[in-house]
Amino acid sequence: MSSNDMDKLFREALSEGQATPRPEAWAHVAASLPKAQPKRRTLWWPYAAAASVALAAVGTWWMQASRQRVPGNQLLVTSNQQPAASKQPATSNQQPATSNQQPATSNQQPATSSQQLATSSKQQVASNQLLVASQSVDFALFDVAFLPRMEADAFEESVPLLKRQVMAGVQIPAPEVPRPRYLQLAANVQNVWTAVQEYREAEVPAEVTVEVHVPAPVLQRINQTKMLASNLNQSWSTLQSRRSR
Amino acid sequence: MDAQRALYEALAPRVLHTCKRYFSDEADAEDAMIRTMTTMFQQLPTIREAKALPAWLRRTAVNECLMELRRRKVEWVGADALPDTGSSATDSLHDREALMELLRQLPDGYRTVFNLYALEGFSHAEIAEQLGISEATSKSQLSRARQWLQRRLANFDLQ
Repeated sequence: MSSNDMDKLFREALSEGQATPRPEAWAHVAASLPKAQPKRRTLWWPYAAAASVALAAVGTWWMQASRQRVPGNQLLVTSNQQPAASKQPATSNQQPATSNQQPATSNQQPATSSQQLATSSKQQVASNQLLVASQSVDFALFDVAFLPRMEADAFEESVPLLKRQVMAGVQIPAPEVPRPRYLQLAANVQNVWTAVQEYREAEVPAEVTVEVHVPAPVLQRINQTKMLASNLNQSWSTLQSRRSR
Repeated sequence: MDAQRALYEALAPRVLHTCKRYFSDEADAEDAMIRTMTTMFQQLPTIREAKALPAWLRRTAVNECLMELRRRKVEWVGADALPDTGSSATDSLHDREALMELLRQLPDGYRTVFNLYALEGFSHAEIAEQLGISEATSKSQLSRARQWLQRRLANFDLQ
């Protein structure tokens, strides 16, 4: 038999094959198997608790921050019973522009600023408040602090505006989202209207004046909206009448 | 554990067969098989393709055997006095087990070189590198192994 034949004989017979190991052999292999990592149970509720606490804190801070921002534009419903008090609005009508320039002095808590309103009306101090309420009549105080921040035709751009202010080094007490504030204006106007209705229903003998002081651009926008609404109303009624024919 | 056991039972017999070709002692072969399987389970995450596993296992098994043989400082040269251990317990010459027995009766040095050359397909250069011997030694070991086997096979033929 040649060398090659013999190599071939062994190769074919023995190159591949199987031999049954003793059953004990597995135990040796199993003993050195890499241990499976025990699954670590992550508790989710501490995270949830921490998150909710943080959320609550941020929420509270937000509320506080937005409460404290009362730069002077306030909406008052006053009674005209006292002539001394009614004088004041005439002069203070021109004030929105100046009151905007002094947010630092008028940055008080709502509670204290309303007190100041009452006292300043007694003393006839020429203040930057828009309106002075007479001390004898209840008044409704509404926060429209965001108004001075708005520029003409730039309601949607108030966020970039804020950014510009930050870049200029002006300290902004809290980040401001324009939309909710705008909605708040609407709510305040609604509140004023409700107050007026209440006065009427109570048949208060005195005349009731409602003065809403808003910056010119806002007023412009309101008027535009009114016009738009009346146009829409007209179109709607025209359409209805045509249909009914 | 069950999956590992199943894998072991599927692969261990082949590995043990390969290891048995390298050792005269059954226990040595089993030890090499256990080391090979242990290595496999450790390395399993790094083995990408299941197809490559049998070839990888065989290579690893051969390496394990060679490491053990090297550790024992097998006498690669010399061994002129070939052991003539009488009868091999076989009846049929072409019986695989008989050939296996014959192979395992070879002295360690001869058997290793014969295995690597004839069954694993190594070249003499590769064998020399693997075993740390010269190519000439590899060649002489191979020819002596062949002679030894030839003689044994002739004896079988006579029977």
